[in-house]
Amino acid sequence: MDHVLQLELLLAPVLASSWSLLPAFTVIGLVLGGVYAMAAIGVVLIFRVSGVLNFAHGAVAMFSTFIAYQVSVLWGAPGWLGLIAAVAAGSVIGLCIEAFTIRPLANRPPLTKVVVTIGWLLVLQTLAGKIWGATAYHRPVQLVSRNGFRLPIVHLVVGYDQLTTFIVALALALGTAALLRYTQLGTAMRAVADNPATARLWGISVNRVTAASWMAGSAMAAIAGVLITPLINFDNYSLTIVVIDAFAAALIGRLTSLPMTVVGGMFLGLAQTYPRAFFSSAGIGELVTFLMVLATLAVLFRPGARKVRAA
Amino acid sequence: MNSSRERIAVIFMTASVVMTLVLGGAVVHALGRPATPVVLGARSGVSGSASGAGASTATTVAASGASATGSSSSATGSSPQTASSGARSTSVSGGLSTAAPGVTANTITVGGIFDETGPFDATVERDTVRAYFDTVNAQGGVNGHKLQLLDCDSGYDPARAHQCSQQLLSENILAMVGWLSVSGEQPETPYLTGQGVPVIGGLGVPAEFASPISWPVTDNLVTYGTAMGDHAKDLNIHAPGLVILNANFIAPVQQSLEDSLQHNGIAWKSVDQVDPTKPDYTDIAVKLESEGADSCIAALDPFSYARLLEAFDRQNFHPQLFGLGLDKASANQQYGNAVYGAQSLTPLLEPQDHQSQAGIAAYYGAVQKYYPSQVANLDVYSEGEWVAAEVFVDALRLIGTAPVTRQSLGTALNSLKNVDTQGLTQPISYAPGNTHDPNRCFQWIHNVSGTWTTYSNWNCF
Repeated sequence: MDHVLQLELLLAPVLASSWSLLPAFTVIGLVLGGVYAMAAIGVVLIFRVSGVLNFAHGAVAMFSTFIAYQVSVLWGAPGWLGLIAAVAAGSVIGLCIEAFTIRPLANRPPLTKVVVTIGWLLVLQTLAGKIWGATAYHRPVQLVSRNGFRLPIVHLVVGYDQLTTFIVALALALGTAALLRYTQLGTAMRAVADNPATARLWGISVNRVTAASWMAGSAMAAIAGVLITPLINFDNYSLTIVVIDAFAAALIGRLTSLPMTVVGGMFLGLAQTYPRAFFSSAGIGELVTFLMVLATLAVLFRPGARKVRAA
Repeated sequence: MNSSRERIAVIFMTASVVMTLVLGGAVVHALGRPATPVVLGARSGVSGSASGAGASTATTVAASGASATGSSSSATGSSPQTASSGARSTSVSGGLSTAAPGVTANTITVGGIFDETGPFDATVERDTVRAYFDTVNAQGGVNGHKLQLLDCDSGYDPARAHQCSQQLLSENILAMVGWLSVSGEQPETPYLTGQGVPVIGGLGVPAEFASPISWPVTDNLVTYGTAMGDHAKDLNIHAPGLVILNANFIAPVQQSLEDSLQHNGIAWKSVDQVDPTKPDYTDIAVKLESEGADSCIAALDPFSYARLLEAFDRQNFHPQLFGLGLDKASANQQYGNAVYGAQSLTPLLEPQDHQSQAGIAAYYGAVQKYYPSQVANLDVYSEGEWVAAEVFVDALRLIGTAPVTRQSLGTALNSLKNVDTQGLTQPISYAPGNTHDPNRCFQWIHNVSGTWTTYSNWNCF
């Protein structure tokens, strides 16, 4: 009993100190969640329209970001020019993936297409390593200042770059949702998503609409990559791996709902950050990610649950 | 249609089985060759003295008088000479083999495992060793032998590091020289030395200080911990937060740091282990600030420091930073003003404020000449591998015109006394024994307006 009391006395200040960190860690988690949400939006868009879970999404983001790096850091052009180059490169890569490797497999099982995207992941990762080196020693394109402002209650400084990532993630999610709901292209995308054969009967060019979704999704990947890399390691590996966290966020949105994907990203960011207040071990964040993926799969995709969509 | 597909599948399967058998047989054959005998440990008798060539078998004789030509080192007593009856002779009982893998009439081939991809960039260490070899080769090599380094990328992956060990063994390297594989050195040092491969240099992981045929040149990272804990007191550090890289050798290093802090009456606030891929250190900054830490004692890689400092800077929280391995020029560009006033320590002469010093000039000059793009990436670790290459070449020169074998190399290394590294370290000496720990000294450095400046003599632990 004495030992228990001693332990409690010993832990009391530590726990008190850790709980006091939670407000600040909430903001840190939301900022991290913005990163995941941004990475996940393109994944959801492509999946909704073409039914393909794009494992190469992070690799597309990475490669496009290296294009921005080439333009803005190595050639010295302004950052916005690098961003435009990255968006253009992302769109072209998305178009190539769809036109040359996904479209010919139109009648194949979804798993075949997923394997093709894994192939693209490896190709882009290797290619980037060969061209720009496979280490983390690259200076990222800094579009937005790292300076920030102090939040009054939590006494935490939030960088303008972090705030931008958060706002752009929200804007992209809402914008994409609006595009799907209110525009002709969006209506066509939803029609293709629901039933490509029927959409074709209505005169919709399924190939064009699918290509447009891949281009738009990959362009979003490029924007995400350029904005995220100052916040993480900039190499041909880390951004590719961020997509695993993005999948967890997308799963929470059932791979269909963009607003819920953003919520999933925020939830994941918080779930990864809070344990750091109490545990000092490395890898606790990754553990949370995989547990969340497993839990989401078990709950949302259990037998009898509402189907996500017909692939 | 189906039958033709099945035929194709059967052909592919048959071909793959045949290829597997052929390649598997080749690997078994290569690894089973007697060129890489298993060595259990060097005897204390393997010494540099003429009379003490303890691995005294029929294949080993001691000859005196052949001094090391051009060597900057001196050996006690006569230079050890080993005459082998043949390059493929059998291993000497209890000592290094008299076999001479990697040695031909014209070249000596050594190996190195480096993190060339992934979160670390050890290509600068690889190129530093090559720059030293290129310099030696340009002067005619060592006793007619040109030096060659075979490298293998471990990519911060212990499994790949092990594959590299096997690959380099199959390519018959004489020794490992100047390697840097952050997660590979701790498990691979016992493996390689168990295969009889001399290991020279390295990051300074504990395993490199636990083998009779490993000859480190830099401080044990455990000694770093002791030194940092000791110097923390001098820096008036009272309540530090510890931030330490999560690596497979870190437990004894962390323990030595904590022991030393405790010994000096310093109570640390918290210990955070972090992965080298940790993207954002805001949580660490907030945590340390809330704990009331007056400083941060860190053991990270150069670019993790950049993210740590960035987080400190963003939070306008500026604890005193005391970390090892901070003085890397290319990383310092990312640190910006945040690193001003930071404290560090180095077991090798700090290059940034000793540019005109002879040893530094030779080191920078060689890298500038052969690998100019790497100059900005030079750091304390590449300097250590430069010294490792120097020690290796000194040992070769000590062997003289006698056959170069793993045994003669080991004997020569054990004979090196007061190796003059042109002032880059305290003089380095080795002796026959179960372990080697030749460098236990540090100089304290701090960052003055962007330049790392030395402010102490050597402090030895």
